[in-house]
Amino acid sequence: MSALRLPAGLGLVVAALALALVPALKLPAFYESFLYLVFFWISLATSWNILSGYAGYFSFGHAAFFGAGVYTTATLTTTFNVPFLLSLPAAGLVAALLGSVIAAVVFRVRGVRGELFGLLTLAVTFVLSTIALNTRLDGGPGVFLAAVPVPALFGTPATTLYHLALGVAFVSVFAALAIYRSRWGMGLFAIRDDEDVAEVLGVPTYRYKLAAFALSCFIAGLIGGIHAMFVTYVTVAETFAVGLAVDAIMMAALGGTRFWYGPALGAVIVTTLTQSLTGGESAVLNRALIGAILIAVIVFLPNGVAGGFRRRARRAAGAAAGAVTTAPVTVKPESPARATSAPLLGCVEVKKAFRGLQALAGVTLEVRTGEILGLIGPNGSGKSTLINVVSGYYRVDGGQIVLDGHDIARVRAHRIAGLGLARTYQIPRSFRRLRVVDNVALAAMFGGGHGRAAGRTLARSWLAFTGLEAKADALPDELNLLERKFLDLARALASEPRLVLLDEVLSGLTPAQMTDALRLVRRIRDRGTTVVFVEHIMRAVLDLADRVVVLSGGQVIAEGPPRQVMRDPDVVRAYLGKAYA
Amino acid sequence: MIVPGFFVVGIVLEEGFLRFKIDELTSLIVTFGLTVILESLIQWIWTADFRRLESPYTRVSLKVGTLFVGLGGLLAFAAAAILTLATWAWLRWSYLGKAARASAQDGPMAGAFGVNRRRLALLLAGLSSAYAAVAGLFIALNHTLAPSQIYSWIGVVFAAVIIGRLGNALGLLAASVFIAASEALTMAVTAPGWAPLVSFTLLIVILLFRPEL
Amino acid sequence: MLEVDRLEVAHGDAVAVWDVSLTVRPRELVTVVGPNGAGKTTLIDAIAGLLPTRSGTIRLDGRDLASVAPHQLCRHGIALVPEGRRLFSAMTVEENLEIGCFAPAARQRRGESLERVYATFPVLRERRRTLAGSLSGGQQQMVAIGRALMAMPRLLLLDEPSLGLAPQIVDQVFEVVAGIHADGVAVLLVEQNIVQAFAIAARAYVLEQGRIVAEGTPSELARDARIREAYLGQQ
Repeated sequence: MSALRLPAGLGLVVAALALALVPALKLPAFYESFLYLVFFWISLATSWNILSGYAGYFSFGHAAFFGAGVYTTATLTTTFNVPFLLSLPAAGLVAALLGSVIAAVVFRVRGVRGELFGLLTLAVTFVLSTIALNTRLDGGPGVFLAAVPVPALFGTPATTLYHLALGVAFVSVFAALAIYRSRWGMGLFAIRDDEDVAEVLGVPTYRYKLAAFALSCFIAGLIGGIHAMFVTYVTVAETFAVGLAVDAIMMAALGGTRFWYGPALGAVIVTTLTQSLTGGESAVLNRALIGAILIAVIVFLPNGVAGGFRRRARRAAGAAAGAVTTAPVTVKPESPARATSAPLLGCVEVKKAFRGLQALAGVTLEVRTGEILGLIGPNGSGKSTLINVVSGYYRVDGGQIVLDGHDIARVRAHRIAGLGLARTYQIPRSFRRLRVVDNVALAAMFGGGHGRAAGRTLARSWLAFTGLEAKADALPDELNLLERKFLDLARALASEPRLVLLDEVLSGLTPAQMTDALRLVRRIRDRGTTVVFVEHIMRAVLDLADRVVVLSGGQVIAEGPPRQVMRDPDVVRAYLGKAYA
Repeated sequence: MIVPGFFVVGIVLEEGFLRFKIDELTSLIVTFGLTVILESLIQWIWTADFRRLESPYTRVSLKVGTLFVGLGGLLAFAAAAILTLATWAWLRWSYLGKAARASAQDGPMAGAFGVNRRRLALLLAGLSSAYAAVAGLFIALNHTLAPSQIYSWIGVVFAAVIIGRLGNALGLLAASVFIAASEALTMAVTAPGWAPLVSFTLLIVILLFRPEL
Repeated sequence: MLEVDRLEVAHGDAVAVWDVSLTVRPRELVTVVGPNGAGKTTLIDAIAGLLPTRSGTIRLDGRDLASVAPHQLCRHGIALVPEGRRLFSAMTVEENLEIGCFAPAARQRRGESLERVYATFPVLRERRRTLAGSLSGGQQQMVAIGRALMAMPRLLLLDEPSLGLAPQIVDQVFEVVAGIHADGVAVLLVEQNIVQAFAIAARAYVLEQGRIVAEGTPSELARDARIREAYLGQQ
């Protein structure tokens, strides 16, 4: 796989250089203008995709930041007589700053995702356009830039603009590629699939989204500044046009939002189609045709044209799949921890309520290093809530939680992961669009702090530990339930946690599968990881647990060795009622 | 004739979305695609010129106290008020309206008691499309039209969506009046151009602080 | 009346209920008990049409329910009181009850059904215009039962009615259920709380990990070691 990596980046550079030489061919001006347009749309679509495609936060406000760039250049060059070339970085920076401020506020609000984010960014466009229209930035009549000198770097001023646009397009696609291959990109894709799980695994979601948005706006601002000179006369209506954002989105969606080259591909297709279908009566209808093509692609190829290519490639590869032999990298066996009496995790009077329902009413318990602790209790006793609270998915209302000496009660989830805690989910929540190996690598990278290559290697060894190495390159949907649970487990283990919380890992398994699962849990402990597991299936609890804690009504009512606890009258009463006690 | 026609359009669209299992974000893109198609078709059929719907109503002005109120605007407001009140009443008192409210809250439970949710979804999609058609009629009555003008109304439409999420029909009417009034007030106090700023800032604030609505 | 034969229900890949067979005769009160996670809610949801079944049949009066669309089931005389009550909390008590008789046949008898429900639960008559979400747990349970009764069922499905309720309220709820049964409605009651369930049931099944492990009358099962095992593991 890595053999293909270098060529892609290299290919981009070569393509860019080739395109840079086009003006030297002295072709009719039409070609340069056409290519300029292509670069323009590549920049817009790709920059949009960096946040919206990768992380799934569809922004409808790209025109706002484009416009910020346009008007920064327009104002700086006309009112302040700043040289054009100098105004460009300013254009990018202003747009990026604007985007960052907005993102800093919006991303803190947990509920603003999906279409709400889209609506909000759209509203931003209108706000900015109104400001531009009513202040000295534009004031109504627009800004004339014809008088601004454009340096002739490689020939005519027009060629300068051509090269500048090419430069921005190149930067945007290169950035998209670089991010796609980096930790940052992987984190963004994880955010798109399941943001909450990503956060709990250790991905710094806020920071990543903010940075992606800032970069996206920077590029939009840059191309905005260039475009201002290209059109030489800017108006608010044409600049802050919602249609611009929509076109960029459509191009990205057409090409494929999950790929670094998708938006560029879409931009090329649409621009070429638009230009080639001019002339005659059909000139007006060609936009209709493009709209129709877009709808058809979206419905039948949800991952765009690029997605269609990828699907074909996979099918071809699948047919020719041989045995994938990976040199078995064995997991370094840690010295098996004895069950000492030193508490690894301590909860003191932990409280959590939801809308009037007191789920945890003061839970006090401790987890000792190296033990397997079973957490049981009747329905509604608060077991899952406790796990969610300890892992940082929910905030506690009161009480203390101390992990290995650190107070984690009010720490953000991704930091708790870094401190050595991992969890699995009752219904496995894998990142459905990442491959199995990447699911696990993500945890190794963000929870365990490894780099990308090391993460992948570690991931493969963890998959071997759980018996999934043959399925490393498959997608989670292709696995059966037991395999997905083991994937969850491998992912939890890949961050090398000191404590792992298992939430009903045995539910839904056949007795034979259950035996496999129990065996794996014991191996996990033998490697040195402390295990807390929530379970209903009593036979399994008696079999597996060193110690058992019983929750009822949000409080601990008993704890001790399993058989002893299950005979405790309080426990019997909690489960069966008075008659049986 | 137009309104029932759009009712049908809404139903067809929704059926398409359900059949192809299109999620919410993708449906946004699909409808934008449709907008592009429609814009082209309109331009092809009617050209890009500005047009004005002439009718006896547009030139009449009524005198209310010391104010002059255009009949077109008055009719639009009356229609909006009537439709809103009618919808609110329908939701509150009719069986189908109650079914719609129950379905919105807990779909499967509503289904368990006999509500055919698929048919309900189609009905509601058709209705919302028909209401949009009514709004379009009044826009045509009161403003000049051109294909390029389509996007200038997007702001209003999105504002409607954001306010519409408030859920309560009466609250919706109140919010719309409030926003329109604040716009008008801004226009009177400062330059007219600032009006959208106020309304959209208000919308952003609503979005940020009550997203669960 | 209700015949469930070798039912298998899965959530995606995870098989929650398998090889379950049970019957409810007309006017009988049958209970299915079992520990948390045994699959009781899955079983009832499948019978009520909320979940698809993987194999096996569910027959009501001889008619295979697989051929009936989920929203038509209430017309055949089945009504559900779901786990956690699942009321429409933004609607009033009376509106919740009215949704219960949404089906045309029941809707015609709306007036008299409402009267009967208010007679059984007088406190609901006082609170008919209150928002359902603001009621106490016990009152909400009554609304949920009332809503099901409005559908004029011949078979009432009850999923863990005692969940989350204080002991005195639980007593009241079970009294009501016994009363409904006395009026001639067949009841399938799924419960974690054995004591209350056995007090009113004619027959019982014990569900553990998706399978029936014991069946019989409450007195036969009362001291059966298998129940202790199911809830508390092997001793």
